[in-house]
Amino acid sequence: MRCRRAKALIFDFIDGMINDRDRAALEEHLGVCQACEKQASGLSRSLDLLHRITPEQPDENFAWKVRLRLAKERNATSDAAASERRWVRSWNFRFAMSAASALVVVIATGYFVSLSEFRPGGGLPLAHKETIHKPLDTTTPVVVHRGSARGPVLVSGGDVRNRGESGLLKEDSVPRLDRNALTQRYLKSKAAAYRIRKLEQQVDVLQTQLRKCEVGDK
Amino acid sequence: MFADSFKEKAKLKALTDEDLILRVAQGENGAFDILVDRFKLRLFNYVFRMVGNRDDAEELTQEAFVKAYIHAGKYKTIAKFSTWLYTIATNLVRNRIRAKKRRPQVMSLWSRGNDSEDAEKQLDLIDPGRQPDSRSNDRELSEVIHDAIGKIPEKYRTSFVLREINQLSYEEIAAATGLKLGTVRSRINRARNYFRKIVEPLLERGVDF
Repeated sequence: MRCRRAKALIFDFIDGMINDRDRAALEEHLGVCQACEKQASGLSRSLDLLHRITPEQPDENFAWKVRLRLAKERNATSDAAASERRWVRSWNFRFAMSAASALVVVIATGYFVSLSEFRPGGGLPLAHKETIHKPLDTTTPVVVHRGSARGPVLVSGGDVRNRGESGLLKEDSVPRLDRNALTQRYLKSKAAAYRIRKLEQQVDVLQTQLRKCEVGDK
Repeated sequence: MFADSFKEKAKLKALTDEDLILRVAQGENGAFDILVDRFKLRLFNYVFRMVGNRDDAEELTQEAFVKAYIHAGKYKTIAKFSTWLYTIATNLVRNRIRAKKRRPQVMSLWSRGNDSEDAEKQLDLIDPGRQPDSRSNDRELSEVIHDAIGKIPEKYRTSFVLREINQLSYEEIAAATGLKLGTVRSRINRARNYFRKIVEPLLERGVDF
């Protein structure tokens, strides 16, 4: 047997995992090889020394310390969990508020854009747009917005046309209302548009009466 | 009532480690106390031989038991409970040793660089001034052996201590360390040679412990 094989078998011998044939061959080799015999002897004695030491004892309150540590771990976990829940709730709340705010802004913007006379590309959808070719002056184009209501009432430029009316009023003879400002202000809802329409009807009635008065005076 | 709890405890003591940890997973703290009692000595000695000082060993051993309790629900009966516990402890020890390496200014009990294979060339033999005399007591022997174990490179030391101190089988060591069986055998044998070379001068001088 060669030394290399013998040195490997020494460990199997120490572990008690050597068969009889290998044990005999190893013993024969150790009988003639001093180096291997010295190594085997040294290993055996050093490990024997190791196995003689007394085990180290942990602290006598070890079990109590483990329980204490466990209790601290549980508290830390519950504190961490509570803290995390608060954090998550706060972020949920903030997120919900932000989302709600964004939604309100989007809805309001969409609504205003749908009602606004100012549209990218030049104005309202063509189906609802009608141009009056009698501007008040050369610089103020007049546009009638029919909208979705039955009566078209919103006018930029100061003129009003109601459904069923035969024609435009004569601007020169009738006191003009600042409808631009009024229109902008009451664009918020159909109710506001309805109110405007009603007011304008009253205006028309008054103007008609005024005309009659004027005609009567003449 | 005291008799009932005494009987209950006696019943628990009759259970196997695996049954006890399953009960721990169900919230039975009495089962956990018994497991701590059964394994504290073995686990403490393993960790102590690995890290070198009692304070760290106490702390890490406690932490290993706490982790075992917290993760009791994750224990699978395919492995022995002891193997699982040693795995937890081994990971904690490795993390602690790595942390100590990152802080070289911290003095470790294992003050010599002994975590590489080249450590064989740098092996310092035991200081002759520290050699116990012929009337050495157990305590001195323990200290000498403890120093000798500390000189073994860490990657060999783990398997060596589990085999020679804790008497685990090669298969259990392989499971606890995550190494292959052949690697475990190889590392244990190399550690034995390291240990022999460290302790041999004492043996040659004929010091009797």
